[in-house]
Amino acid sequence: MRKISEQEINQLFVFTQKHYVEFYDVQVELVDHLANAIEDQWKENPTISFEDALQTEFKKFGVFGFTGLVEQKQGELQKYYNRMLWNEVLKFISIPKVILTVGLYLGIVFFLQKTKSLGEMIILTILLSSFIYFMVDGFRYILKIRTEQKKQGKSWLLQSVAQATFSIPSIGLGGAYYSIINRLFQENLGISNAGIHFLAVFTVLHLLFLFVFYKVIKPNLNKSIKETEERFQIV
Amino acid sequence: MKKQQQLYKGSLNTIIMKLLEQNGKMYGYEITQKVKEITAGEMNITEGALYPALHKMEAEGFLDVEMDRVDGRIRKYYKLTENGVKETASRMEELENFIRNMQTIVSPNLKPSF
Repeated sequence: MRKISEQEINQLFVFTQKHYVEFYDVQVELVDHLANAIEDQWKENPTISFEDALQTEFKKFGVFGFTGLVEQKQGELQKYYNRMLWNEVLKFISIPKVILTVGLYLGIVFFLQKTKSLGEMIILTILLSSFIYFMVDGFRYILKIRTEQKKQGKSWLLQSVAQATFSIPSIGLGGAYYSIINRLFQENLGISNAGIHFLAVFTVLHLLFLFVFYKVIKPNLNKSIKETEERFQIV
Repeated sequence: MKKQQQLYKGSLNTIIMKLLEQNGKMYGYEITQKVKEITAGEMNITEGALYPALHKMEAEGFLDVEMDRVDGRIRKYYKLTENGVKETASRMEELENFIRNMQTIVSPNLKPSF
């Protein structure tokens, strides 16, 4: 029985790349699927050409080809990490961790009530500098991933999810932090009582998300990327 | 035939999980062929439905993956995780209930065999 040759396997890799599958882990799965399906076609009809058999199989993936598949997988993983982020944050507003959260909130309110505009400036500066740190660190992280991809000559789907996890909050929350910059440069910073509570809630949320992001999400992403790399190194 | 495919669609994940439970580990193409074989060609899992289902269950932590080199190419196998085994049991129970209810509706005098 005719089997797929090494050269044909390479052709299949090129075929998946041409159809917008840039991630090696997804390519591998599709190449094996196509190869199996083509070999099965040869069982029935050994004279059919590799190209024709490939086209027949590709059609089975529907009008969107492989693109829908890649996007769906990215979407699922993104959902998984979003769920992880929210679940961890929610732990801080349920017993027992809620005590810590309330303590932090009351501490900030007390601090703002005592120090007024100076306190507000300090809090706003903390918010802004930690957000800038998050952006710079995110930029460095994405750069590190790109360098790694170049070095290995391969990219993993999870890396694209990791990049999105960093860049989406930076872009999405950019507006909120821009208004913080504006507020910092106002001449009179006087804050109302309601303003104190609003700022305290915002600061607590900001710190919780950052904490969970660096304590849980980033290590988890790194671990999963490493596991994917190792899985492919074994074979 | 087409209408029947619609009926199978809702149970796709359960079918995949049950197959993995029975066979230990399987790769994508093998799953499509196995289903075709069992149902004598009546159920056809399309590529466009199979991989999204597998990837979703992998992201949800029900499936784990393992790589192997076969015929000069890398093969990705799926297997159930501990959570996946539990989920399979609960989904199978739901499916059996569903079949029982449908059977009662379709032919009230006939008792299902399980």
